[in-house]
Parts: sequence; C-alpha cells; structure tokens
Amino acid sequence: MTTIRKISLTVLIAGLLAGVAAFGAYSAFSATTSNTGNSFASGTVAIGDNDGGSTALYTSSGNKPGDSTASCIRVTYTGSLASSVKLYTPSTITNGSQFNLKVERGTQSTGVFPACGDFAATSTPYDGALGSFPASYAAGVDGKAAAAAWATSDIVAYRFTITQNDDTTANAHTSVTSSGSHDFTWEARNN
Amino acid sequence: MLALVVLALAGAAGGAQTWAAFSATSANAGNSSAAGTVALADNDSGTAMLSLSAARPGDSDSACVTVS
Repeated sequence: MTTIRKISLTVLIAGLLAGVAAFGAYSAFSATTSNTGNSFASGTVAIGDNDGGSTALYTSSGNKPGDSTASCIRVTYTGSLASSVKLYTPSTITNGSQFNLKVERGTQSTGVFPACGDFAATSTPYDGALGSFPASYAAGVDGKAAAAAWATSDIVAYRFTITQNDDTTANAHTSVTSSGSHDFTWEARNN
Repeated sequence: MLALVVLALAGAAGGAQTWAAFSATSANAGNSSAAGTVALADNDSGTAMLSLSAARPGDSDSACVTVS
C-alpha cells in the first residue's frame, strides 16, 4: 500500500467516525398532559330467597286425594340493573298429572320460611298439573304481574300449594306414586 | 367499488350484534310430593269361593276367604 493510499484511507475513516459522532444522542425536551381516573364497571344482577339454602317448600308423603301442603317463600332482588325475573323448574317431574300446583304472588311480612304468616295473595300466575309447570326461563312464570321490571330491593312473596289429585283408576295406587325431587328456580336477567 | 360493498356488508353485520343479558338465579331445591297407597288382596288365588249346582231350596255351600 502506497503512502498516498494510507493517508486517503485514514482520512476516510476519520470522516466516517466524525459522521457517527455527529449523531451524538441529545435527549429532547418533552411535556405531557393526562386525563386520569377513568373507569368502567358493570351493573349487577343478583337475586336471593329466604329458604336458608337447602330447605324445600314441601316434602310430603302419604297423601290421599285432596291432601295439600302450602308453603311460602320470599324472593328479593339485590342487583343494580332493572331486570326481568321468571320462575321455572329445571327438574324432571314424574307422575306430574297426579299433583296440582298452585303458585300465588303476594305480600308477606310475618312468618319464618316455609310458614306463610300473614301472606296475602295478589295474583295466581299458575294453577295446574305439576307436570306442566314451565321448564325454562323463556316459558317461565313471570316473577311479577304483567312481567313488570324488578328494581333493587324489590321483594315478592310466593305461596306454593301442592295437592294430591283424585284418581279413581282401580289399583292405581297399590304402590307409592311420587313427583320425584324437583327444584324451583327464579332467574333474573337484566332488561 | 368492491371495497365499498365489503365495508357496507361488514357494517350491516356489526349492526346485527346482540348482547346477552347478565343473569342470576335463586333456587328452592328438593321439593317432592308422594301419594299414600291403597292396596287390598285376598287368598283365593283366583279361584271361585262357592260352587253350587243342582241345588234345591235349603241346600247351602260355604267357604272362607281372607282379605288383607
């Protein structure tokens, strides 16, 4: 390599280094503005009853035609959103035509579950064969008359009366006919 | 043009959005009702209790059956 070339190369490298140095990192001035405290939360849908969690309205046996049991339950809505509440059974019922179920809505201020105390009926949304009771929310019995909306702290009392139907068929009751164990569900869905 | 059609369709699909509701349930469980029974039987094993033929006045036949 000639001296001229060495010098030229040195100059080139120096130039490149200078170029890199020119990019020397200077931080910028900055400023921010902010909008704080944003949040978005859901409303609530919550419903409960006074049965203590595991006590049935009725568990009667040994009934003869005309025998009946009446019990009351109070349902309270505690959600924040207006809702529609429907009553139905999610259970499979056997011998459903052998029993009649009457469900009345009303008000009640005394009586510990399942006693009815001073229950006063205001309407009767269902009175028919136990086996024909609605089995889904869509077909369910309205929680309030005319499917009125439920608001926070609304309470509706219900009286359930189950009756043994007549059956004159000979030898139809030489062994026990039972409804089987079944549940009732109140379901709230926001409007 | 095609892009416009696609956008319009997408817009229509977006407009069809449905929202499920929040829901909550309260249940009363374990209800049941059962009938009592009425059952009656006898010990004749299906055969007749009395069999009287060519009887004249005063003739009689008797037998016993137990009903339980």
